[in-house]
Amino acid sequence: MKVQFSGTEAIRAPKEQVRQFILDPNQVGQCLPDLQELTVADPTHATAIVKIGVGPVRGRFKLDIELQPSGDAATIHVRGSGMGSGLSMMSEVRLEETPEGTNLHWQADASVSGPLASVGGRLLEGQARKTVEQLFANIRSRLESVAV
Amino acid sequence: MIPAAFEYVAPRSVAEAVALLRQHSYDAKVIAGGQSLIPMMRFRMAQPKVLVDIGRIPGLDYLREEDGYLRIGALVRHATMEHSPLIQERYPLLAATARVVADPLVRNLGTVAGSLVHADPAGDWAAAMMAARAQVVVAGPDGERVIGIDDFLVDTFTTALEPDELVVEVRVPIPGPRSGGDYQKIERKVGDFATAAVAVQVTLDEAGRCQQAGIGLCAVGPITLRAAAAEEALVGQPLDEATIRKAAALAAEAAQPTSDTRGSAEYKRDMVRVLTIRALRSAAARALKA
Amino acid sequence: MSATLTESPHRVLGQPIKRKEDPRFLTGQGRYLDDIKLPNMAYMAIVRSPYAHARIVSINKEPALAVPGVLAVITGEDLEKLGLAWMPTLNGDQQMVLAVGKVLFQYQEVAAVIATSREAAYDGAAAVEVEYDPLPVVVDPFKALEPDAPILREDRKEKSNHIWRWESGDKAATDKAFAEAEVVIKEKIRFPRVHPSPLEPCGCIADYNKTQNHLTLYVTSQAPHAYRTVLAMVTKLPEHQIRVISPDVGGGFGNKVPVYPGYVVAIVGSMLTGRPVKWVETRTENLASTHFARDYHMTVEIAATREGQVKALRVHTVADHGAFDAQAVPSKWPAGLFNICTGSYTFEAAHVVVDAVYTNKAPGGVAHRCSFRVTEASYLIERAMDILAHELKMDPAELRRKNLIPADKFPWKSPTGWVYDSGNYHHTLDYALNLIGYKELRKEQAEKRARGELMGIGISFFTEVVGAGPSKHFDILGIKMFDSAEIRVHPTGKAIVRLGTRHQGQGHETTYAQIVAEELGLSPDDVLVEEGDTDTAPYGLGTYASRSTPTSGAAAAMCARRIREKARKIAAYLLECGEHDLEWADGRFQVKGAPHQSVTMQQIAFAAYTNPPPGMEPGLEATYYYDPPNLTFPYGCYIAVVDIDKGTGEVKVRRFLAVDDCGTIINPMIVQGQVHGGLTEGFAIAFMQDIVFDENGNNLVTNFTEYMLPTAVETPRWETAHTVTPSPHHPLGAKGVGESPNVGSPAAFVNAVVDALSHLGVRHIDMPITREKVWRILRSAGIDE
Repeated sequence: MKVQFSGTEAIRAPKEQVRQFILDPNQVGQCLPDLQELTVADPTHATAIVKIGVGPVRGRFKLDIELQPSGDAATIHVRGSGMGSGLSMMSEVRLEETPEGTNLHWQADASVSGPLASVGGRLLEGQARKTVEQLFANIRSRLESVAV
Repeated sequence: MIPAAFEYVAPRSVAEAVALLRQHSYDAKVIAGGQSLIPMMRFRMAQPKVLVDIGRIPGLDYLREEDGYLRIGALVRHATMEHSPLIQERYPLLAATARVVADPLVRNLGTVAGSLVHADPAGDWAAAMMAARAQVVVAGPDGERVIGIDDFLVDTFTTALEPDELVVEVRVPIPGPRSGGDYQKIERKVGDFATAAVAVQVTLDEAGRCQQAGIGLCAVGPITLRAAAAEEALVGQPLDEATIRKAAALAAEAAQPTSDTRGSAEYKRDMVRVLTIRALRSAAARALKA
Repeated sequence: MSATLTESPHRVLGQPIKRKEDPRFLTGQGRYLDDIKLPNMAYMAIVRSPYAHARIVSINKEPALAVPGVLAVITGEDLEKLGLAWMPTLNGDQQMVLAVGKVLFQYQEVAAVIATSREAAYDGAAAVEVEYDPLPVVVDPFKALEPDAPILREDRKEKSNHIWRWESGDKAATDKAFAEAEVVIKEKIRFPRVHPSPLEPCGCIADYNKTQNHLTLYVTSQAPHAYRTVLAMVTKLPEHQIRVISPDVGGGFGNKVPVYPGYVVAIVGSMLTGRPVKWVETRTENLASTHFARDYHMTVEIAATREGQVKALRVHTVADHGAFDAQAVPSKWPAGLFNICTGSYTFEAAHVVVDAVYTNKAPGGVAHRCSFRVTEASYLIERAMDILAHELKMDPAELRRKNLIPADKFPWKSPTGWVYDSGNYHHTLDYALNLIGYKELRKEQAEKRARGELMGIGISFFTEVVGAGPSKHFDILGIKMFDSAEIRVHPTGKAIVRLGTRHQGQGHETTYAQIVAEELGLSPDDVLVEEGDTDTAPYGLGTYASRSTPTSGAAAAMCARRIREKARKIAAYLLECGEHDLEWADGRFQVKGAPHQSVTMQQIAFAAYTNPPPGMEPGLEATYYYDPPNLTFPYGCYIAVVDIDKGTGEVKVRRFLAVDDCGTIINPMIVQGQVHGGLTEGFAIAFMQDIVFDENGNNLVTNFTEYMLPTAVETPRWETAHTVTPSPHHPLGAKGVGESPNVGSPAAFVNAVVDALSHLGVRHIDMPITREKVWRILRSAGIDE
């Protein structure tokens, strides 16, 4: 499955603070939904264990996170495996200053390979969207709790 | 197709079941008919550590009218609903639903309550119960509580149940005179999940105008949906073709389908419209006869 | 070798006797592969790739080896050391047994875990850690041919995804006919990728005995002898030290012809662990990794006169073969018998081109109740004939009548070289049209159309080609396609027949018993049919492509006749007369003109062991290898009647008539069962089935919820009938029938749906015809609930 999602988080924090945050694997890593373990490897890479799912369908995923500056913002690349399947998310983030703080515009290409895509096709798109949206919502709330 | 290892316990009372659920919390999963859970376990998509089998708890398989409600015990099977003269005679919506749940093998084992607890957006009973404005009776460590179906169904595979709670009964208000209902479903073949389905329950007043309407949409969103605007458009109106078509268009607007192997979002949305028209026509005809 | 059947009370051919194997199957007494348990047996599970195209960075076996009960984990690297990482396919390509370096399709075999229990094997498989580096995925065969497409098969010398091109017919003559044609039609038609889906998935038990250097392989195989030879070639074990046993087989449909990687790994596993190793695949594994069928993207053109006389046929096909060219077809026929696509009509010229292509999908290309791509060919021509009828505004039945091969033109040589053995096509067409009431149906359709209702009638007049050999043309990996039978008549006049075929539910134990009983004057109850054990049965190429009755059925008849010749000598001795004074009548030898002076086969058999004529070798048995002089050409006329739901796009098949001509019928009940089964498959293909991949190469139909087999609720009621035009060269006149309904029916369904919508300008709809496809047509024409 390949899907594209996008969204905007209005963050009450200055742009530079947001920019630094989304280039920090320790910060972004902690925004992963259902995070269990996070190991920062270097200033641009981290690995994480998450236990994501819905209801009885839940699995442990090992994720590799790579953050790269892109323009005045960043790309967030997450790749990993779990439940016998592979998944990846490549997202482009763009930042826009607003009177209240910063608008974080994100666009994500999510891709799932393996039995999850084969068996879960009926429900997967909705769940993938929720998980990706959760990541960016977590970035906002974490930034705001730090900022305030 | 071999599930991961799990522990199995079979309590003999609701209290014992609740205690086990309290003990194992999120690691536990209740099994009744197992017709959704077991396939998920065989694919290893679900790997509960403990299965709490409520199938041996006596007294949970009743199906009777009492105190203004049709009371469906937690262990009532789909087939029991399908073959019950009471359901066939007095609950056309539930009878129509029972006939098209999965296939006969699943209907012999799966339970109505289990289907609601599983909270699959393609669950037929959830849509029917939404149209019928059912309630779910839940047992927990502090006794029982009653949850309306709309509040019970939260999201895909997610209900308002706490990890130490168990559904013991589903209640459907006994419909008044001049009531009728229908369930219209499109499936690629018997046993498949619905491509789309619509449940309708209406009650007419003496003048033949719609007094009360319930419309539940199946398999066209992250969870069962209520077509509230369509319901409102019916109330106070005679159920003529124009009203029916207007409500059906509103029901289609309420759908939130996604594309998959069963069809595109566009097709499913239009099927909500077509099936709502058909279900309302037959529900209205039944209400006029009732 | 003409059809001489005795008219007598002993007549057992043509009788609808109940299937001898059914009591066993219907009471749960069948012995299938998974019913077999050997002492000390281990179990195997396979780790499969979640990616359709990826490099394998690393495989960590350790977590799996730590699972209690796990005995061994085998990877491609391990097999490489044994020279077994690759194996030959049935089509001259090679296929990875376990992935080496990279994976080429989702669910490809990557590692195998052997454990003391099935549960431990699956837990171990879940624990193996494989790191992948995903590569660009190619799912579209047309994109695979583009110059910048990633090269999938890096192991091949040719750096291209194009596998081969096959041409048939006369290009110049065809081009000329098109240049001069009054009318030309052209259409792109896809035959979807479908799966045979036998209810019993594939599996094996490999039992290697080191001290004796002997391998017994119990395996779900349609062709046990071919397996033995292939295994001898792959494993280098001497062929006499390999015994292949195919127990009761729960459906095959071509899916159990190929040798799968799991079998090879199980053999290695048995060698490594010293235990018998059982591997039975899951439903998902069967659907996602074993052989599919079809997946032909065809462009068809017909040149015709304005009066509707067909002149020439031009076909170009892009064939999606998946990651390995593993289809099961005879060596000389890379696209099988696809060039039978001129069908039942008097085309003067034809030119057929097939380009085969690699993609990131599971390998395959088996018969699936289709005699080597005849289903594709038949669907193509029958669809194209309807498109031509539409273009000419002619009734499709009339167009067919005008172009069917006349009865007096048989044997008919087709422009692509086939010699059709026999047929009475016009008779069968008229018979079918009358039986269904074609004129009345057309009248009803016109009335309904005037009222805005949608009804359609679809005709398919197909010609099948089955019964491979002859061995001068047909082989699998060089092994000639003949078949064999061995009969032993015991002293009390009971017989055992052993054959090189292997039934999977077709009723061989009854059909062959009827043939032998007829030829020897026995009761079918007194004839035991045995297949599937290479140590006991004579060599044969197996059961697929409707070849059993045309080849082994002929072998059984010829073998029985060989026995009868010896029996004649014994009878003459017993009756104290000359051999030529005897005639075979009423299932016994009797003295000409004195029928009361006779001996039965029981008496002859007893004498063969107790009182043989002086100087005669005792015993009464024979073996016969039958190499057919030509193929047989069953045919039929199928008619579907459908109604369409304007609100949902649902197609309801109101009636379906199948008139088959399969030559002499041995058991009409079995034939009817075969026809019902094949029609149900055709119905599923027309309306439900397609192996769908997403852009990542994920197979989206890996279970029976998504890959749909129709139930009794969806399946239409089948009406069947027959005309009988015997094959002139088959000893019994029989032609074979198993696949006819699958070959002939898809076009009838599609033609009916298109016919229902033709007034809206619809010419073609690709299968599967889903409700949504019809709904789009209806809504774009302004038709609604």
